[in-house]
Amino acid sequence: MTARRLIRTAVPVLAVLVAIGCRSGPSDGWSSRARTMVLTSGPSEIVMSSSKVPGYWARPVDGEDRFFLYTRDRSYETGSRIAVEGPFGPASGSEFHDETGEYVRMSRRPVFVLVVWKIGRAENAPRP
Amino acid sequence: MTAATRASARLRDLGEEFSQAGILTKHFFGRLFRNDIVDFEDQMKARLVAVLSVLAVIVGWSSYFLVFFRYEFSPDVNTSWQDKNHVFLLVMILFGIVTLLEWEVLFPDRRDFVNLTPLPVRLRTVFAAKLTSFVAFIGLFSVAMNSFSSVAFALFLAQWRSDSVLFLVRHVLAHLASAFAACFSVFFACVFVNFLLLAVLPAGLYRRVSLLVRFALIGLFVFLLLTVLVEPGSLSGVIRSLAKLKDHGSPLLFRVPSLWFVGLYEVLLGNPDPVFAALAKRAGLAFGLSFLAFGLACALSYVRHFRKTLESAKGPRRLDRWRGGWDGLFQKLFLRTPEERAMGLFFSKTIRSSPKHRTVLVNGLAVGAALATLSVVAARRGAQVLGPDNAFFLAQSLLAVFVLLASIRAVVNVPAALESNWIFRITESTDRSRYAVGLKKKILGQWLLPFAALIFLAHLWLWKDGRAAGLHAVFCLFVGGVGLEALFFRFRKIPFAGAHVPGKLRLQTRAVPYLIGFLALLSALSGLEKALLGHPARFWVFLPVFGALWAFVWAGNTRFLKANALVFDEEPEPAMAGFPEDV
Repeated sequence: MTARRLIRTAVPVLAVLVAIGCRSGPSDGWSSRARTMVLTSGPSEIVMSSSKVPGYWARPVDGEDRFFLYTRDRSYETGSRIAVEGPFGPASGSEFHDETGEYVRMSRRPVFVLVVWKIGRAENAPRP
Repeated sequence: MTAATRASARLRDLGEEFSQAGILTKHFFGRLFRNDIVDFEDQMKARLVAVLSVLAVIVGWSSYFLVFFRYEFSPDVNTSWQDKNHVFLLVMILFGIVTLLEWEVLFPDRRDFVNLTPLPVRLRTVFAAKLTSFVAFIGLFSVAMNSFSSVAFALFLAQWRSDSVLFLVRHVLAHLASAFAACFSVFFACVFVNFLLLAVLPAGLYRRVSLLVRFALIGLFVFLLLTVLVEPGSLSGVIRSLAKLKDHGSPLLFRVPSLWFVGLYEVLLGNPDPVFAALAKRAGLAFGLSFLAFGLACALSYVRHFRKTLESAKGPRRLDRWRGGWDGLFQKLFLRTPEERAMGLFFSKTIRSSPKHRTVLVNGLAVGAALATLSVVAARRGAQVLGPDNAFFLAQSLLAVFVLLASIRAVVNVPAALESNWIFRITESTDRSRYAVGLKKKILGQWLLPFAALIFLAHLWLWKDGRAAGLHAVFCLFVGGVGLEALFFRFRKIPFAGAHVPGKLRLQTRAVPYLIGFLALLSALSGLEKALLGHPARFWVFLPVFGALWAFVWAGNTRFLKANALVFDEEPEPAMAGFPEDV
């Protein structure tokens, strides 16, 4: 009986401890997973699963890969140097072409879509 | 009396009321599992766990396949709401079916009020206990149905929003809470329909119309369930283009109830999208209206039942007189011997007066109607020309006839007041085939003939060709006649009056061969009918051949019944099979 009571008390305590331990970096300020990038477009959008996804096109400061940063924040412009934090993964969708005004399927290279958890001007962020 | 004494007395009263509410809640909750379909009285827990597990696996499996391939590596960029909507639609439909099985016991009936009112129990305690039992019932089913699903969604989707374990837990809880709200609203929407019927219709008509509405709703929900499992896009253009509608801010989006609760889900996860906030408000409204529906239904059931006595007089209705006249005519013309008359009357009166049997029959027919509708909708391309030269379409009427006969065959096995079968035991006559003949004549006259007339009218409206519609109805009637003989082959029981041992069909092992055989038969018969309708003169060959086939089966049945006595107590299959003694 005592053992069962002990387990009953221990499980939630353990769960809370694990939850606290698993939290990502500091809640204010940048975590170690922040990346610095340069925006290669102004506010843009792509289409995934038939939904319009707002954001920006960007490339890492020290790389050539193309990223689409998914965010609703529309306050940045082409060439801005930004720090961004969030998970990313490959995706296939349709890209909006300003010149033709049409959505064209992104099939040439895998495009990485980064889900922005946090975004800011690069001068406020830690150096990569 | 001091204020302290009064407060103490008040507290004691409240405590007593709580304990009464607890007992009543347990009673009402238990009754929810003893409905007309599933008598859970024995082994209730085991069966309940099995049902809940099956539901959890159906929803969990669908969820896993939806989210695994889409979000394991690719990001969720505010697009997962479409997948959540799919699962919520499935959950709401499944729970709708569960609720319709509870249709008869949703509210305290007259007997409940008569039993409860002499006791020192307040009315508010009764209704509070009823509400608590409903909440427990909805909670049990919604948590079970979403147990795997909520974890699957949290595992694959939470990673794109936060890597905190707390968020993972929040994801699971948000899923469970919004699914509970969805089930709650479905449940009380059904309660509201029931209430509306009770409010609008006179008491006598209520039971009949309520049965019809239940049939329509079960048919609709089964159709929706199968469609959602196979191809939800075929339901409506709205379901196919939800994302585009959202992007364009279309008000059509607010007409899909499952989306209201997806909106709530997203809001609980902290999604700032204003569309989800508006959808969540709609979900809150639906949740609030559910309580209102409950209150109205309680008040009405009180007014209807409490103020009347249990033995209120029931005057004869015009419909009953008309039916009595038709029954009398049918008996004079077709049911010649006393055994046939007894069987015919016993069969029709039991079906008419027993809610249990009516419910089994209605549910069977509803599932059949849903299957036929689904087949037509699923093969729209093949069924675009719904004419006499479309074998697939012709098969739907045959399917409906077989479902009707199979439902009747299943229902006659379910005993009604088994202890009263002594009357048949002591009056059993030597010509036992008369019992079976009476029953089959009654089914033919009371069910199959009107059904064939219905098929004729529906096809006359569709084809505008009386001859083709008539021939189609005649074909269905003949096939139904032979099917009736086949389904009641060697049937040596009095309907509703013999103990039944379930599981004799061994569906666990034989369901698939049965299904394949049935589909092959259906396909062959519809092909044959198509050929006959193409050359109507061939019907003069078909009719005698089918007539001869029917006579052959009938003669076999009669011979068998002459040699074998009626069975009242069915024995289960022996657990161990032995060798015959002479081997």
